[in-house]
Amino acid sequence: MTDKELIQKLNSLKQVSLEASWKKETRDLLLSQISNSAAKEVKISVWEMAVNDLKNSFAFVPRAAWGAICFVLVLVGGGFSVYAANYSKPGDYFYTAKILKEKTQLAMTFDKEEKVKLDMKLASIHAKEISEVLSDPKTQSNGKKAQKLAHNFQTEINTVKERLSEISKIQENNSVVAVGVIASGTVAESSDVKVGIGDLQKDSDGKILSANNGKNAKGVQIYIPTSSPKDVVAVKASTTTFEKKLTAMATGSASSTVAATASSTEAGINETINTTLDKATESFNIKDFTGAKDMLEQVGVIIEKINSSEVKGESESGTSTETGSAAGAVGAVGSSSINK
Amino acid sequence: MSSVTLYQFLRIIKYKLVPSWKGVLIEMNKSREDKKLFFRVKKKDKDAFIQAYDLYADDIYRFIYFKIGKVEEAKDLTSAVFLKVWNYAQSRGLDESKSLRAFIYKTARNLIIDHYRKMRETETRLEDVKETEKILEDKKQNLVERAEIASDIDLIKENLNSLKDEYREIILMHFIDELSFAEIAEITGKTSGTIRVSTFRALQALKDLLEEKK
Repeated sequence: MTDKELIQKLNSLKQVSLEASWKKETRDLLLSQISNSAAKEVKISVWEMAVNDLKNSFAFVPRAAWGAICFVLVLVGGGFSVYAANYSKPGDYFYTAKILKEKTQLAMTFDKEEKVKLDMKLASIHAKEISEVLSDPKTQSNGKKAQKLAHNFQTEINTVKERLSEISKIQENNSVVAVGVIASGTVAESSDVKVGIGDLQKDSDGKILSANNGKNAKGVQIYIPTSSPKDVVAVKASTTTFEKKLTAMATGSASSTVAATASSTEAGINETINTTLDKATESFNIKDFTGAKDMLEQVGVIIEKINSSEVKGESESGTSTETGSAAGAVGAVGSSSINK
Repeated sequence: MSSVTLYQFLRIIKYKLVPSWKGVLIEMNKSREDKKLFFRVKKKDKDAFIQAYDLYADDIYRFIYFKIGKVEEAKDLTSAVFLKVWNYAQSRGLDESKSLRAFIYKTARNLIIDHYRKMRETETRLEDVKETEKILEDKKQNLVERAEIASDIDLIKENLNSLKDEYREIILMHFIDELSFAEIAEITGKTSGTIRVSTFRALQALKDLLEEKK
């Protein structure tokens, strides 16, 4: 006999039961007995019953299962809100979450320069988002919201500008540190383009300030002859890709050359960004939100390039060349390159 | 006593000791109904108590009958159990119990023990096989079917008698009255794990007995 058969046989024992007549008699008997004992009629409210029922409905779920359910809910909820926040626009319910996320990101960035850059990038993205939202006629009809967004736009633009000047300050300091002093008068042999260094080889007493990153193809070399009152600076931007966008400059006294090199190149980029930002603001003010958005997109591209090219070990010239190209993309390369 | 082997454990799972999904749903519904009634009985609701009687009287009667083996005494005890449950609810409340069904079984168990004491019967024997027809529920079955069921019952009854008390009780509660392990644990005051193991052993013991007789 298998277990199954046995269980079936056992089940047949269910047939054993009370006769209906006895059952009824006993019920009546019981009812009369309990009627004597109960002091008063008991009434249970519907509400009480419903609460109890609800409690019982969940009672079969074990505690461990509750834990698992909560865990899954938190995961799904968290995932959803991050997703929603990422795709939210200014004025949305989830936009606050996005801002909060960005603030966390900022707080987690410890490098000062990186922090400023990130803040600048975020501000430009915000400004872009605002113009995007405002280009929707629905938002424009909502006067109060539009006004608030316009105010925010101005704040964001100002933030970008502030951060930009901060970055150039930081980089100015860094460039002085980064630029090494080479006492010898040798010039890198592999340079394709040399500007104003005709008599360089002859002068053995001169100094070459180099911000080379170790690659021959890229780098800034600044030659400072000790005897000469006028400094000659050679900027080598001889990468094959950016040959056309050569930046070279030679100005100022011996002491100020280095700083001047860095800042004047930076100034060019900053100017480009500032002009584009101003244009964007103009467009924004005349309610050409799509135009403003496009401008800001360009600013975003430049900022992105600045940020991405600033890998450790990359030289100042690398940056200048890169940003020069980015500036070229918006048609403002002229302002960034000074040829002498 | 050796512990349950993996093989045995798998067989427990296979044969209904772990109920099917459908079984779980039915069980859930039953236990919800039970909890509702329990709540109302706690609040001294007479109607609920009578409903509980209708629901459980047969099970309790069967449980008692297979334990003491006498129809009339089993009937008397059944009505006594329900009266005691009501009185208990009136006087002390039923807070320490989790389900009404378990509480009724617990009461029945205690009454059976009292009954034993009174009768001073150490050995309990079920009644004659001839009486089986009498206790069968009056369903409209044909004679052949009835006879078949009666013979099955006789067979089981005989062998249940030879089982030790603990096993008999567990088989009655789990396989016939379909109480859950948790409920049986509450009634007997053991852990549900112990009951699970005992249930399997009880079934095995009964099977061995049946095969021996063949």
